[in-house]
Amino acid sequence: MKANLTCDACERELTAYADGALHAAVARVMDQHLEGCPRCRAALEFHRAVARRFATVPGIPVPPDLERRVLRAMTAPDRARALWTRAGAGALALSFAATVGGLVFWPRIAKQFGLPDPASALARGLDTTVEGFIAIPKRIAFDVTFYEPIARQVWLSMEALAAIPRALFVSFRSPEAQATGLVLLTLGVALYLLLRPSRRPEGGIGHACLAL
Amino acid sequence: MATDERDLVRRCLARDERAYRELVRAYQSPVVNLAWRITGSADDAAEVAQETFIRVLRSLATYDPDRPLRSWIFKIASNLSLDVIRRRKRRPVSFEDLSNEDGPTIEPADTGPGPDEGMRLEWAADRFEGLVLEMPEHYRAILHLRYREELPYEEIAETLGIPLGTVKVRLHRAHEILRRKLIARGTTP
Repeated sequence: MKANLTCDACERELTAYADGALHAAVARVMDQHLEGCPRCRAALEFHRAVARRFATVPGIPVPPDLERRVLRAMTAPDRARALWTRAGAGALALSFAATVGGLVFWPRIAKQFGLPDPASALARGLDTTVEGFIAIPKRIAFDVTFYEPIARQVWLSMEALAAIPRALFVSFRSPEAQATGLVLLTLGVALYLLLRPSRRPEGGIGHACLAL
Repeated sequence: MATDERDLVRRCLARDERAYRELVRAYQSPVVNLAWRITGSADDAAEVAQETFIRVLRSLATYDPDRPLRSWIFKIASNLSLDVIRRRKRRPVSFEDLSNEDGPTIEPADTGPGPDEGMRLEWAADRFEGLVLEMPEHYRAILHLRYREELPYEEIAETLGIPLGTVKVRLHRAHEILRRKLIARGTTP
């Protein structure tokens, strides 16, 4: 007996049935149908054969250097980081030693080579730094006072330009202006049609006019 | 996730090189074969596998330990394999490619079994491979995950990022495509 299931419905569920992924109740209905339906049984056998074939087809071998390449990629950043850390620590130690040495020996070196006194040089350096910092807001304040009137003029000009379309619209409300506009438009279109390049070489009026 | 897998992940997160090796050894064969099944090329599969493990090890901190590690690794591998396919489709095929042995080649049309063979119902392994390679990549991936890796439907859905119903439909369609191709060539499993 085929049970109350069509072959189409059975085929739709056949893959899940063969894989044991159906609910037990549905699987029971499928069992009954398959018992009495040789066509669906053949289809089921096909599904099972595909599954078996897939499971037994030999795969490809793993590349022998895969593990090495992955490990190299994973450990290379660590090594690079360690190297940079060591180099950074060395540079820091060197600069510290140079600073201390400079501070200790500077008066003697300055006296020997006729360089300015360290205290006064430090004061001058501080002065220059502070002046440098103050110069920035000063420059900004100057720029604002200089450019602000120009920016205001530009703004007003833009507003004036924005009023032109409105003025044109108002003036075109008079019948005379509309008539003039229409005549000008017609003339423009006519001129374009006359003078446009013809698709046929040297066959259009435009070419004839240009030839004149 | 199994306790030993949890431990393996923990050790990898602690940058233990031995744990890296263990993880690569445990999954290298399935990952290479999944990538090969999707891309159809051993060279691409090797590159995809390498990139997969590097990504897995670098992003282990974002991995949810309540989900199967295998599915997560396969998901990364299948996404990378599909990227390779997409890049390949974008690349125009040149005449050099056609004459190059390593590049794409134009195969002569398969006319099925010859007159001498008649309707001998034989399904050679290379013939099966040829049929599978003719299928779209998402069908190849789903067949491989189900029958080679024996993943349950839920894990396949998670791996490929598709609903469970779509897994069933795709598997059914994959079988249908294979069946039609085999019937068209007078062959059966």
